[in-house]
Amino acid sequence: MRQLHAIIVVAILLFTQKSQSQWTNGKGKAYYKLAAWSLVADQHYTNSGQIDPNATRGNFTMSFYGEYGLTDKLDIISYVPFFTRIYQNAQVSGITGNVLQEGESLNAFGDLDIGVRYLLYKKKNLSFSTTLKFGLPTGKNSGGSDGSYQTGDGEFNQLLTVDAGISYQLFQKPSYAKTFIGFNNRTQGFSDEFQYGFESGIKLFDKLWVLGRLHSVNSLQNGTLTAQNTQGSIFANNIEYVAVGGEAAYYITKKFGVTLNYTSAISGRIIYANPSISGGIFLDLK
Amino acid sequence: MKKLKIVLITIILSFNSCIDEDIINDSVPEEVRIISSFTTLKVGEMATLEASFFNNIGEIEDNSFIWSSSNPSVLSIDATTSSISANVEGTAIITVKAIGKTGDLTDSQTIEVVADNSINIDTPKKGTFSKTTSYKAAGDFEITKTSNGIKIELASNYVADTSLPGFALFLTNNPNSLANALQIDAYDDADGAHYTGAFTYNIENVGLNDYKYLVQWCRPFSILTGKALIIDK
Repeated sequence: MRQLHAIIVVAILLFTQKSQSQWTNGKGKAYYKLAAWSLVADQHYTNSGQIDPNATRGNFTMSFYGEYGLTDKLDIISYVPFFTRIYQNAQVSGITGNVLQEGESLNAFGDLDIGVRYLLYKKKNLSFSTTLKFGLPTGKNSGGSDGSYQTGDGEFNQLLTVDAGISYQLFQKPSYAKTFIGFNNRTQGFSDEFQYGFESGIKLFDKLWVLGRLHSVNSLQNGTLTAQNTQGSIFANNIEYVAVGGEAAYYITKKFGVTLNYTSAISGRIIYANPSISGGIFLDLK
Repeated sequence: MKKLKIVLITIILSFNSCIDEDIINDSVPEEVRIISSFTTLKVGEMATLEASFFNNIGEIEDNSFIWSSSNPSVLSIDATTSSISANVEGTAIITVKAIGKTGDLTDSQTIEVVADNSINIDTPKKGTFSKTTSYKAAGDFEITKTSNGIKIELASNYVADTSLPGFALFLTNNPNSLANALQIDAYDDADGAHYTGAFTYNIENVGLNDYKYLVQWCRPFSILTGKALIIDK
């Protein structure tokens, strides 16, 4: 079940790192974010899409996300989960109070992502770009007493997306909408994935961006990993979900601000069924 | 800079990443159980019956037992030592009684006294899995006594969900907890786990009546996925 954590971190959290990301930053301009993300889950979507309970597991991740414009059309992107804590609650008898199963935790570096975004087309308020991200197996893919405390999936993947966005005025407020489709090529026996997402936001009170997101990950079911050949790490493979979330980004100054995000999978397979929250601070160096 | 530090500390502290406790409802009915599994005795033969008291979490706990026979002329029994004497051919029901927190508890076993003890039958057990979550769990099994333990034979219709991470199979007296459970198969043992179809486990130093349930678990995440009550065949 490691990848219940890892996938959410890599996919949902990375996906939610920056709004309006179909637009490149421009040469010499940058966006940096330091965030903390937390998921505490006592239920999960099974392989048949139903919800079943599980021992409460948590993931707390602190990460750095950065985008920097090398040229007007090309950004480099990096997601660095420099601290990930996986933990499980102790299982305690309701009758005797005795510990039935000890709680456990693991702290480690997570899977790092690096990539580039290239502006394909921009005219007035319409923009198209493509993004290529490499997921590096820098996390711990086996840990804890039973190997299920993991901060990475142990595989190198390449996610290629095509992004489109449009900015407009809504109720005389700056607004935008964007979408993307992507293909995630995974290795080490993991199934490849088709992904898509939508996002829309509006700027309120001149300092506050409020936005909503939807992100869908769909397994192509072409991997070879199963519960029987991965020593219990089946949750690595064939994860699917549709997650929706909302985020508020408040600019304290012109460049510095704070964000708060709430995201939850509304359907899925082999993924936790509890919401995650994240908060962070950012520097928007435009 | 001071504001930044405050924001950072607030963000970090606002997330709860401490190990807490999940409270498990691991209550089961108290039970007294005759552990001895023989069902026949030869005329003139003596034996001692054994019983165990299982408390409300399925743990063996000391208790006092009172034994009785439905037909003392056939099979007499010492009320406290459980020593039985096979007197004449016939059948008697042996009953053991203990007092638990919830009141009197009893268990009975029918024993046949025969002239020739060439057929000493230990009643086999059986069970059928039913699922306790949306994961697959099904199939029948039989349990028979062996010279040094028991043999569990899973039928061809046996199913455990292959998508389960950390699958393991246990004998237990409390299906809600792995405390005091005996693991008989698991994904991380030497030969891996068996998921589908007929299979036989030979388990040493275990009696036919030592456990009441055979259960399937997702062990790392403490999920009971299949449960079977072990009953007389």
